[in-house]
Amino acid sequence: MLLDLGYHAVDLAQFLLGPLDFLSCTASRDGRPASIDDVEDRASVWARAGATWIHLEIGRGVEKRERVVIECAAGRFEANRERLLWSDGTGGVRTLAESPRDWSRTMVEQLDTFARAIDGDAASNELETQLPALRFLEACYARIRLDGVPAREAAR
Amino acid sequence: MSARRWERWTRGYARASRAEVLEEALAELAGADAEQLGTVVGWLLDGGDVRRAEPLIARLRELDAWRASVEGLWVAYRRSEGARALADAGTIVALVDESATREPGDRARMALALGKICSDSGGLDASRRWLIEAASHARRAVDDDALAAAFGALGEVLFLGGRVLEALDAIALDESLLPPGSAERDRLLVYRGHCYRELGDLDVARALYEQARAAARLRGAEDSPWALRGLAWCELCEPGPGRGASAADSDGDGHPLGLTLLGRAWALAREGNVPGAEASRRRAAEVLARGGYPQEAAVALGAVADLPLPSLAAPREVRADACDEHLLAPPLVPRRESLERAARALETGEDVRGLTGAFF
Repeated sequence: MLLDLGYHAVDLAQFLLGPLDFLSCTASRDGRPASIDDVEDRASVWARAGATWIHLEIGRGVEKRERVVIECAAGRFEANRERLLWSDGTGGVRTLAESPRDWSRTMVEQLDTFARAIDGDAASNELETQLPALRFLEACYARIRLDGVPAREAAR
Repeated sequence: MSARRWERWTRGYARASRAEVLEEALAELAGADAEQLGTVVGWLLDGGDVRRAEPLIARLRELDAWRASVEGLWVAYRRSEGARALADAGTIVALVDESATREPGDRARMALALGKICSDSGGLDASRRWLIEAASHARRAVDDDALAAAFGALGEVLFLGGRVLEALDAIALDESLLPPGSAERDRLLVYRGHCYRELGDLDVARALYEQARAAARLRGAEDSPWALRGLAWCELCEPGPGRGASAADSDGDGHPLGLTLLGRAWALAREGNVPGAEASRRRAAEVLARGGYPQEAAVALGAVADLPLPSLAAPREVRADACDEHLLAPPLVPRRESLERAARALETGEDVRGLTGAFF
């Protein structure tokens, strides 16, 4: 779950904010803390980039959806697939942008890129650009290992 | 106090060499400004040292009445008199109103005090909101220490509210923000142990409690009474009546038996069998003392305060005796409000989780 969905969120956060300082990560499966052998169905990750704090909540749901919330001193931005909203903290909410929910064009482009990669046409340095996000996710999994499994082993 | 020296102290305090820095700062407080005085008072109260903080609060009141009132809230919290402080609604409202003009660090300190007092008074929802606000202000103040405290307190509130996974998340964040070697680490291990215990993963909980005991000893403490209570609680949580009862009735000796007896005392108390609980508790204390476990014996002696209402009549004296006898520091004994909350849970026949109040 974290590797699959969290990857995109981490990649985006790193693109926008630069390198992230990892703080903590917890993961669970079926309402219980996940060990490293489990495939987690929920994960929570905390990080920061300078004064900006990032909290990623990733979980399995019925419908695929994303929500990004940016809180700042003056108010809060909230975006999902359909719209971007602004709340100024006094109760007023303003729609800043809207878009159709249909992601078929994006999907076509992604599949096209994927097909070109298989054909050998994709840029050769593509893999290296993924490494910072993967390194960050490795730190997340290392924390899950550290918090869960040794305690279980020590108890045996 | 020179600005340079002050900066050195605040940096040193953040790096966990707290006791030394605090004593050094206390020795040179003449001429300290409101911010410096308020900070040192905060350090004292964070360590539970109400006695030395109070005269400084009186001095602080002349320089910054608002900050002095906030530190007064911390005194109330440390003395388990938070409910009384909250009852003075006019003062609280005035404090909150004025906080809008204060720096984020001050606002975090006030919100954290209110969050902890609300939590102790059983107002978990109000507490959660204050603690989130404290975290938000601490982030703006770039104060990792206050942030860690806010998330740790939030973890406790989430745990008491039954949100165990979220509690583990908050505790993990608290842990990541603490400086290396922080004295708070064993406390966090105990909290994590409570979470796993609540989830029924008793082996992991026990391992975490043992880690907490080891961490406490590493920093020079005798032991971690909270971890010991957790271990005893694990015995109570052990599924089925068989294990606890058979171990308690055996002629065995030592640590496991003593903790089992203590767990059984709580179990009997929960069922309303006060004489049985009392007998089990006394036997636990005997077994533990005989087996060479004075800290555990002290917990068992102090456990009279954890039993239902008839025993609550004179808990302070009994606990004081237990502390004197076995060198346990009084602040490590559960707060009266927590005990009363646990007793209410027992009275109303609530889920056993109601008793967790006795462990904070």
